[in-house]
Amino acid sequence: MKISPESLAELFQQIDLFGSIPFPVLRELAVHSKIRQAPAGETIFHKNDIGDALFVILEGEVKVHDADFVVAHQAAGSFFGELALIDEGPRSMSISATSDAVLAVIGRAEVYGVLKDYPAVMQMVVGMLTRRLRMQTDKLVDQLRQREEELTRLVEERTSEVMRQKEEAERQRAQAELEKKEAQFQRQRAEQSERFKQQFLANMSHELRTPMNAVMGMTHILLQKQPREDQLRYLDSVMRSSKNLLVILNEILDISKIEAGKMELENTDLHIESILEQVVATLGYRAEEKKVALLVDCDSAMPPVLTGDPVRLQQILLNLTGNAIKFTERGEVVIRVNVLKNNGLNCQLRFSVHDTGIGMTPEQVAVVFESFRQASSDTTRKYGGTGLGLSISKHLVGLFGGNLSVDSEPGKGSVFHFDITLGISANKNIAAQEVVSQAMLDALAGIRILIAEDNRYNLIVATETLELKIPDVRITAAANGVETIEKYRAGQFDLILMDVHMPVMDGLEATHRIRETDKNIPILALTASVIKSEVQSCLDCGMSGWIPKPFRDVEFFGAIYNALQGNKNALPEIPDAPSAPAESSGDIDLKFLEELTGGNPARMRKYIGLYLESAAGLLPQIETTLAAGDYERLRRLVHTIKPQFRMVGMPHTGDLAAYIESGLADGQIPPDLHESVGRLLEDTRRSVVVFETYLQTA
Amino acid sequence: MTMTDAKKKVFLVDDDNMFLTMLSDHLEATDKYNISTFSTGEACLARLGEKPDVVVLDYYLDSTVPGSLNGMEILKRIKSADSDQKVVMLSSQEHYGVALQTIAKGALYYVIKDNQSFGEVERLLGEIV
Repeated sequence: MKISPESLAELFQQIDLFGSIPFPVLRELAVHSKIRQAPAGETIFHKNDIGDALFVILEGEVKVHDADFVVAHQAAGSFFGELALIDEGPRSMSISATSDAVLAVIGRAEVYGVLKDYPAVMQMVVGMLTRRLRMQTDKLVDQLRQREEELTRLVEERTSEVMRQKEEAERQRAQAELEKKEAQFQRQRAEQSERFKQQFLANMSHELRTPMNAVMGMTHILLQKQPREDQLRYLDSVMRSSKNLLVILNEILDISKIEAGKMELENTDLHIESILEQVVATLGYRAEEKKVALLVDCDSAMPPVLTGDPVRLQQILLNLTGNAIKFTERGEVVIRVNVLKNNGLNCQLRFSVHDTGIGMTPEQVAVVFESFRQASSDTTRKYGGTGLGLSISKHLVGLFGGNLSVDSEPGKGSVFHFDITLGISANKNIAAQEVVSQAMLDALAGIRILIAEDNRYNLIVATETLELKIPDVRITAAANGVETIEKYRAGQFDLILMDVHMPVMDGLEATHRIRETDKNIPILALTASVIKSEVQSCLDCGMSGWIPKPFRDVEFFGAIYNALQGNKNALPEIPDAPSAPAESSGDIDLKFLEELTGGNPARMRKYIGLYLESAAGLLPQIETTLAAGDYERLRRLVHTIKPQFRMVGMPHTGDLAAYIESGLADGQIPPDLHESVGRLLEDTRRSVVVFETYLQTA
Repeated sequence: MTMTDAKKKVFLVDDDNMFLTMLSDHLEATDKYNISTFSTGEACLARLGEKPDVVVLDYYLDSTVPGSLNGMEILKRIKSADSDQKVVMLSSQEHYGVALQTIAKGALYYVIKDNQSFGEVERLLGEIV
C-alpha cells in the first residue's frame, strides 16, 4: 500500500493526539512514518518488548491484551504505543491485530528529530502524553486491581472448596480409622477373652474334677465301711449328688470345648451292639423305676465292627435315651438303628430314639437344640438338667457328619433321629490289644497288693481301678515308707506298688529295706516324673519296674501283669527331661553331617537343602501359631523340627526345641514361651543364612 | 536278581522328609536292605501285602497330610492285619509312657529320633532280620 505524506498527514490530523499540531509538522512526521501491514491474528508487539515507536491505525482493528485478558479494542483512527515516546520501559500489554490492519509507524527518534525544531509543539505533545500516561496508568491499575480481586475471589472460592473437600475426606478417613481401630480392639478383646475363657475352662476342668473325684472316691470308701442305716442314706445321697454334679460339670466343659472348636472325634473300632448294651445297662434302672419299657431294635444287617468314636456316639445315645425316659410317664422308649446303605467300605446308619412321652409343640421344637434351653422354662424345675445335653448331642452328631432332628407332637411323644456314615472296619472283632484283656485280668484274680501312696486321691484312684478290674483283689494301703515296711512284714503280699516320694521314709529307702530280706516280691514304682534319672534310681534300688502316673489301664495292668510274670519293662535309653538351655547357642557344628555322609559333598548339600526347605515351611507356621495362641499346633511344629536341628549339627537349638515342647505338654503355657520360641526362630533364621552361604560357596 | 532277593525288605514311614531321606540313605549305604519309604502310614498299610521284613514307623505322622492316622493307630492296624509283623517304633517323643504304650501294642523297639538313631536302627535291623 502506498500513501502520500499529504494524505497521511490529513489522517494524522484526525487523531486527538495530533489535533493541535500544525499541518506542516504533521506532514514532516508523515514523511518519516513507515507503513506496516498486520494480518489478522498477528501480534504487533508483545508485552515486555521495549517500545520505541508510535502506531497509528489506518485500517482494521487491534486488541490490547495480556495473554487472554483483553483490556481494549482499538479501531482505525486511533493510535497506540504513544507512551514509548516518553517512557522507554517494557510494554505492559501486548497488541495484536484482530482483523487485517494497516498501521503507520513513527519511530521515537523520528518524532523527536522532527519536533526538536518546534519547541512549543514538543512541550504540548509531551504534556499530553504525560496526562494520558497518568490516566492510562490509573485506569490500568484500576483494571488490574479489579482483575486481581476477581482472581483472589476465585482462588479463595476454589481453595475453600478444596479445603472443605479435603477436610471432609480427612474427617471420613479419621472416622474410618477410628472404626477400624475400635473393631480391631473389640476383636482382640473378644479373642483374648475367648482365650482366657478357654484357659479358664481348661483349668477349671482340672480344678473341678479333682475334688469331685476325691468326694466320690471317699464316699465310695465310706460306703464299704459298713455304715449305719442313717449314714448309708446320707452317703447314698452324697454319691448321687456327686454323680449329678459330675454330669453337669462334664456337660458344661463339653459345650465350652465344642464352642471353642476343640472337640475332635476319635476314629477307632467300635461295636454298635456293645454301645447299645451299655446305654441300656446305664439307663435301664431308671426306666424300670418309672415303669417305662426300654427297648433296643438293631438292624440284623449291621456289620460287626465299624470305625468312629464310640465314646461320643454312646454319649449322644445316652443323652437322647435319658431325655426320652425323663419325659415319658408311661409306655416305652425304643432305640432303633437301621442300616440305610452299605457299600462295603462305609455304612450309612439311621439312629432314632422313640418315646411315648409328653411331646413338644412346633414352637418348642424350634428352640429345643439351643444351649441352655429346654422345651419350656419350667421343664428345668420339673425335670432337672442343664439344658445343654441336646445342644451337645446336636453338635456331636454334626461332628459325625449328620444332623440331629426331631419329629414331635404334644401328648403323643417324640422321635429324635440322625443319619451318619461310619467306616467299616477290616477287623472282625475289636482288637484284643485295644483294651486290657479279660484273660490277663482273670490271671490276676485274688492277688494281694500293698500300695504305698501318701496322696489320698491317688490312692483312691489306684484302689478303685484295681477293685473294678481285678476279681477279688485284696488291697492294703500304707501312707509312708515306715508304714509300708510294717504292713509288709505283718501280711502276705504278691506285689507292692510303691510311690517314690513319701514323707517319713521315701519309696527308694523302703524298697532298699524290703530287698534286704526279700529279693523276689515284685515292687513297682508309681512315678509321675517319667524321667530317666528317677526311673533309673528306682531300678537301682531293686524295684522291678514302674507305672507312670496318671494311670492308664493298659500301662497299669500291663505292668502289674508283667511284673508278676517276672518280666521287666523293656524300654530304651531315654534322655533326661530337658531344661532350658542356659545360653542359646545357635552354633552349627557340621561334624555330624560330615560323619554321616562320609564327607560326601553331594549328600551334605542334599541334606542341607532338605533342612532349608523344611525350615522355610515351618518358620512362618511357628510364628503364626505362636501369635494366634494355638499352642497345641505350636507344640507339634516344634516337635517336628526338633530332630532336624540335631541332624544338621545344632544340638543346642534341638535342646531348646525339646524344652519348648515339654513346656507345652498337657496344655500348659510356660511363662517364658515367647522368649524361648523367639530364640528358636532366631537360631533357625541364622542357620538358614549360614547354610545358604554354605551352599553357595562350598 | 539273586542279590536283590538276598536283601531284606524294609519299610520306612515318617512324615519328616529330612529324617526319612537320611535314614533311608544310611541304610541303603549298607547295601543289605531294600528300602521303601512312605510319608503316611496309610500308604504303608496299602503295601503291607509285599510282606516287609521290618516296618520302621514314626509316632507322629500327620504333620504333612493333616488328618493322617498317627503311628500308634498304624501300629495297631499293622498288628491286627498280621500280628507277627515286626515293627520298630521311632519317635522324638521322650516319654516312658509313650514308649511303654507302643511296646504294649506290639512294637519290638522304641528308638528316640536324634543323631544316634541311624546307627541304632541299623544295629536293631541287624538283630531282627
